[in-house]
Parts: sequence; structure tokens; C-alpha cells
Amino acid sequence: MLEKIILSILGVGKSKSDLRKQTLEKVRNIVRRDTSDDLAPALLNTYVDKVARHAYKVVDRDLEALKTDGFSEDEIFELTVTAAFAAGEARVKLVTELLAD
Amino acid sequence: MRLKILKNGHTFLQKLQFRVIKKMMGEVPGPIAVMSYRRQFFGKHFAPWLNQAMRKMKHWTIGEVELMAAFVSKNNECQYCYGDHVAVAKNVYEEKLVIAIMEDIDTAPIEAKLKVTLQFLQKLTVNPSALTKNDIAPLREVGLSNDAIQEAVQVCGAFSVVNRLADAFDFELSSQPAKVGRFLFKNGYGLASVKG
Repeated sequence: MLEKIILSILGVGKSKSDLRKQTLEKVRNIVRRDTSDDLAPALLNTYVDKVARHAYKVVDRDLEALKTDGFSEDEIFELTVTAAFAAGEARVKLVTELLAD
Repeated sequence: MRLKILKNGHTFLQKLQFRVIKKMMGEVPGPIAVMSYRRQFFGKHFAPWLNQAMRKMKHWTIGEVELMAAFVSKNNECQYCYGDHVAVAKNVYEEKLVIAIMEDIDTAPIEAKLKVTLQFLQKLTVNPSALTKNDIAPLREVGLSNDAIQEAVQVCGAFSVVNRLADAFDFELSSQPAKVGRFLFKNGYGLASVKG
């Protein structure tokens, strides 16, 4: 079930697929190791970090800044969905590994 | 809602169905708006996971998974999901007990199986990178199987996603949480991603 979601969110979209892939990996690393490589541009990196660690701190101006930086609403939608999904998927995988050991 | 496309970007057929949902629930909940928008991209595939976690479990009751959803939301400080899932849980449990669980899981008067599971989900939510095999031991001590643990973790996983979407996109708080709670309790999550 999770694999289907990954295939879809990394497939055809309006944002660059590579950027979604990097977003997915960044959030997975935050969940597993509490650290991650930076994304470019920096504004996106800050936003994805916020969504991963404390999404309740996201404010209007975070999304407005991304729009000003050239991201369309559909791109923001896709990258947000990818970051949010990675936060859930990585937690499930983490426990699966702990149970398998 | 911070993105206009999530307010106005749905298809004509979806908008028609949203009218029916509004009549039943008093509003179109944010998760439905997100899971229905360009549903091939995300909602079509995510909604079955959510429904599986919340209504197709074998080891937990509806009340228990709704408590887990509310508890994960509380730990993520997601006001939107917390309010709605506390409302669903109140269809099963006394309000006083639900609040006691949400405010302090360590002192809440509930059976050990649910308590250690919620304590585990708390750490998985707030500090996942610190989890070790030692954290599994209390779950084993109360007799939880791998399947039962996995089912609880699926709830945590699914709500880790929904909480983030709710806060990043700024879902409007339910104006009638009791109505939404009753609807979700009775009907589950089958309507989460609207076709069209």
C-alpha cells in the first residue's frame, strides 16, 4: 500500500520529480537520524524541515515566500504532500525494522 | 486553507458531491478537500491506507484507534485533527476519560495494553530517532503481538501525514466537531477521497 503511494507521488507531477525525491529522502532522514542534507533552494529546505519537525509552526508567509520564489500552488501542494507522507512512512518503516530485529 | 487550488480546484463532479458531504457533515473537511484534489497524485492511494488503519484493524476497536489518532494529533500539536478525533472517541468513551488520556497518559486510568501502546506512539511521534529495541519491551510485556503493534503504528503513520497536511495547508477548524465525530464514527473514512 505504501509503495503505491510512493510511486504516485514520485511519478508524473508539476514539480520536478528529483525535487520530490530529495524531499522524501530529507524527511526520512529527519525521522530516522534527526539530521538531513539541505535542499535547494534554501526557502524550500526551511519549509520542508518545518513540515517534518513541527508543522503546526507553518504560517501563511512560509507558503507566500515559496510562491514569491517561483513555486506554483500545485508545486507547493506536491512537495507538501511528499514531505508529510515521508514523515508517516518513515515512522512505519522504523518500527517494522525494530520488530524484525 | 492556504492554497486556493484546495478550495476551488476540484472538478465539477467533485464539487457536486461536496454539496452532499456538506449537508451530511456540516462542512467539507480539509482532509477530504486535499485527498480529492488531483486524487491520482495522492488521495486515491492514501485514502485506502487511512481507511485500513482506522477501520479494518483486527486487534483494536474503533474507539481505541480513534484515541490513538487523537493522541498522535495532540503530540503533533495539530488542533484540527485533535478536535475531530477526540469528538469521534467521545462516541465510545466518557469525555472525562478521553481528556485524562490526552492530558497525561502516564496517570490515565486505562488498561495497560492501551497505555503502553500510547506511550510508545508518543515517542514515535515526538522523538522517533531515539527509538530502540528497548522501547518494544513494554509492548511485549503486556502481550502485544507484532500484528497488534503494527496496527497501532499504522494509525500513527497515517496521522503523522494528516496532521502535517492540516497544519501546513491550514485546515479550517470544524464548526460542528460533534457532528463530524458522529459521522466518522458511523461511516468511517470511505468518503475520504471523492472521485470525479
